[in-house]
Amino acid sequence: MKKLFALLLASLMLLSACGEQTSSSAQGESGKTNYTTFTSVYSTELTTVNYLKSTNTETTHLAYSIVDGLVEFDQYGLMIPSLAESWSVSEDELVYTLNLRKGVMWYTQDGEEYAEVKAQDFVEGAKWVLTADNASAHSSTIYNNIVGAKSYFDGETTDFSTVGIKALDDYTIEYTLIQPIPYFLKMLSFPAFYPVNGDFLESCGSRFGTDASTLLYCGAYIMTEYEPEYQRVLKMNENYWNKDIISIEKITYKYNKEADANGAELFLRGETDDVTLSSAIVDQWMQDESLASQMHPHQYTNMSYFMAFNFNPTYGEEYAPEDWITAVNNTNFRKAMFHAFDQDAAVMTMDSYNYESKILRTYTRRELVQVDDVDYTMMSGLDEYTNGQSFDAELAVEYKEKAMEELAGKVSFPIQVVMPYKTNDSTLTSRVQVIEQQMENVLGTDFIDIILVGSASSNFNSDVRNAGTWSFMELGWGPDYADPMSMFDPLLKYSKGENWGSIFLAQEYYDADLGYGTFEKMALAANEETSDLKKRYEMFAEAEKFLLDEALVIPSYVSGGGYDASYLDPFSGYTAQFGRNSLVKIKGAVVLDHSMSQEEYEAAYQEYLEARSAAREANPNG
Amino acid sequence: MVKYIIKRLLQSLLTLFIVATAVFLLLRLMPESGYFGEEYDKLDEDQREAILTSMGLRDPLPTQLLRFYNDTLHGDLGTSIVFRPDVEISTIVASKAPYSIAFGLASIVLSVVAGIPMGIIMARFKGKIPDKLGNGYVVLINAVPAAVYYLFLQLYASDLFKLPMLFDMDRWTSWILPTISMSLSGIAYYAMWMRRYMVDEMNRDYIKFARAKGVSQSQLMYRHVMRNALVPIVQYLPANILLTISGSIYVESLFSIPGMGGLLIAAVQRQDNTLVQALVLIYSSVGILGLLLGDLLMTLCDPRIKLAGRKGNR
Repeated sequence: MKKLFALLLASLMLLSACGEQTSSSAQGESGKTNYTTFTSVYSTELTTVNYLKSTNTETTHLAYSIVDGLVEFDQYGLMIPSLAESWSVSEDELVYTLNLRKGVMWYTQDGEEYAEVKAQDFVEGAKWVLTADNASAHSSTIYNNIVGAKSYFDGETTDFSTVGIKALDDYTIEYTLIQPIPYFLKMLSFPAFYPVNGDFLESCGSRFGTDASTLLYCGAYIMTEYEPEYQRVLKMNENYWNKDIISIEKITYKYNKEADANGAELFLRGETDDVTLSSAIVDQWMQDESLASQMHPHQYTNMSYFMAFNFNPTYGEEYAPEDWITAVNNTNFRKAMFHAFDQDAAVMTMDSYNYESKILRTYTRRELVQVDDVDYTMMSGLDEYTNGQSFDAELAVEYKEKAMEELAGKVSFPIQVVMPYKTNDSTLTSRVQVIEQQMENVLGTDFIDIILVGSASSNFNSDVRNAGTWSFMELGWGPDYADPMSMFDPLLKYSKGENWGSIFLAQEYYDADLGYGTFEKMALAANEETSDLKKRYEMFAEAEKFLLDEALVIPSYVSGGGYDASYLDPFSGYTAQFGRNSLVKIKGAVVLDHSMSQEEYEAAYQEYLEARSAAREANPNG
Repeated sequence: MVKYIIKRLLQSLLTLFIVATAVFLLLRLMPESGYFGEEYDKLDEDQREAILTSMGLRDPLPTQLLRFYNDTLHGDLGTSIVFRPDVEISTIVASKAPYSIAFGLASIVLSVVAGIPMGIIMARFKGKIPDKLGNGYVVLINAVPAAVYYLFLQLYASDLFKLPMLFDMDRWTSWILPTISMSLSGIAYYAMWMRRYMVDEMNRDYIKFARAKGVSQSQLMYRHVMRNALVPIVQYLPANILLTISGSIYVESLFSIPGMGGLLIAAVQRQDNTLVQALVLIYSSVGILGLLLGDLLMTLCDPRIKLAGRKGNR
């Protein structure tokens, strides 16, 4: 009996040990002795490795691996402490005081200890960013929000102590804001606020951040090799303060400009562990069972695309701009266009297999912000749009008839709709053709005449979009911060609206005293609410509902998507502020023994959602 | 000869000056939004101004031009402003040029070693099967876009011979496919022109006379025909060797070779003025030097050619 009991106990212990190992491996907590390696190919080379200079996606991704900020985001997109262990906010929400983790060190490219990371390093980083001669693309992130920063940037003062970023002692840093920003802590995760060692910076001079040896490392990885247009290699920082989350020991990023064409073959030959399948090859993989079992959906990004109306066209008389201005200021005309636009047809030009999940029914994409696990796109009536379908041919024709009645005698039909597009983008080229045919079929060419105008991609934004030589066009925007206000930037006069179609000029809602309309008033009012996040988001959602109700924009789709073949667990890895819908870090990522199939992905996704809900409950402020 | 070289060098300097100035001025006509790439939308006006100022683009044009001349005369190519900000152009070129030169030289050697004998055999067996096969190869290489056979080689030859698809500094086998890819058109070039010049020579009177005198066929071919046929081919060899520094755009891109290929195009696309100016200067200098060396080499190969002297000569 004793022997049987002992055997049973031993079996249970063994099972338990196995279970623990599998579970912890999936979370990246095991592998303390069994580290993995990972190889990936990329087709866009880093412009610079200087994380304080560039906001490019590639540089930011690298920065997340090699340097830590004050806070960061876990695999569920929840904010957690990083180099700051704790923080406090003043009652007026203007002063943030953060206490640094002690004993975190800077290392050189060779892994040699250089110095401890101290509060002054964050001041030095901000000082570098705000020095205009350094031409940092991060500078506005600081000077738009921190007291005294703009004066320093403009050269009105050379005394950095006038800037609201101060090291109170070696381990305490204080930020003073111009006005309350409810998401300021999250902003501190941006490389704009990253530290740099002052002595090292001085020793490098203008060479700082020009190669792997002119950087210091305090993050999870050290860049041991960086040969542009060939490869870069990251190796685990052996002394990383949070080493337990690392399971990948060495990451090799191999450059191949033709990776879009070659990537799938490189993956099948084992020369890379990770590839995003081009749309041209997805069909072939879908038809082959052995290949189809190795592919799974690719994440979406934080770029939202929408069809925009231009209320201030500048094109020539040949396209009758006055008629367009009259028409676009007619609500029924816009609503006819709104309901005539078939998102399914447009989005299928990019992804014919999984297009439904790519379609966006609201202006702001899903999962930008949540309160109590309720997504912003489900607040204040936006759920009607999120769960609905704006395309309705019959309704579109009803609005068309009303519009024709109201516009009769004021314009000449058909209204000429100038729709430029970049000719180098083959999917966009087919998409605009589909949109032209589809909308003209629904509304009739007696009502609108969509005129496609092909343009070169270089300087398209400045020469076409900003110049206003269009009436109706696909535009895309990704917010800078996880906040609806950042999402609204292209629509607001006070921000970028004048270059994005000037919807604030919509006559029906225009307030001549203010110079903008109802939507902007609602958005600015929502932005005033900084203490109650739920109320803030609901007010923004109300503004967005107004935007859609009045058909001032037509939502279209989110970027990204498609399919990956990858040994990476798609739900592992720390994230940035937008969760898994944007940059996912290699820190915390786990390499699997095979590439997930679509079925495995779906199961893992459901598990992830459950785990995320639990994590949100445990960390409601994250 | 010395007078000729000095004259050519002075002409070269004038050419370089005109090229550099024209490129400098043309670059300043490019729209400013091109300097910001994907960051354009995220930057506000103040930031854009700060960035353009740091690039030196807010200085008056004459100031910029004089600074460019001054720096160039002092051997300072400047730093990249957009392509790889703050990195010295000499560093970029020094890290990339060796790969392009190594692959370029390897492909020239292979092209010459395979192409010239091929041309000789084609000429020797003119109208027969070896000549027809050779012509077939030349026509195929010239008719099919290079990108097609580069891709074909990368995908199928790498699979057939178990060679890596991408260049890897630590694996010598990864040199094979890029070198062969770069050589295919070179082999066709040398074979075609060698055949053509040899056939021309073979029809000349002195060859007929030698044949009538009883000189053997092999002696005729190698002592007379080949030597004379090589002269026009040799003229372009120095330029070809020196211009290996510019790299091969598509082969380097396909096999991930971190060379110079595509660098000029990337620099123009990104509007990296200093990098474009530097590369144009380097490539122009190398091209001009190559042609000069080619002319000099020709005089060594063929004593009948005089570079200076009587009117009407080169």
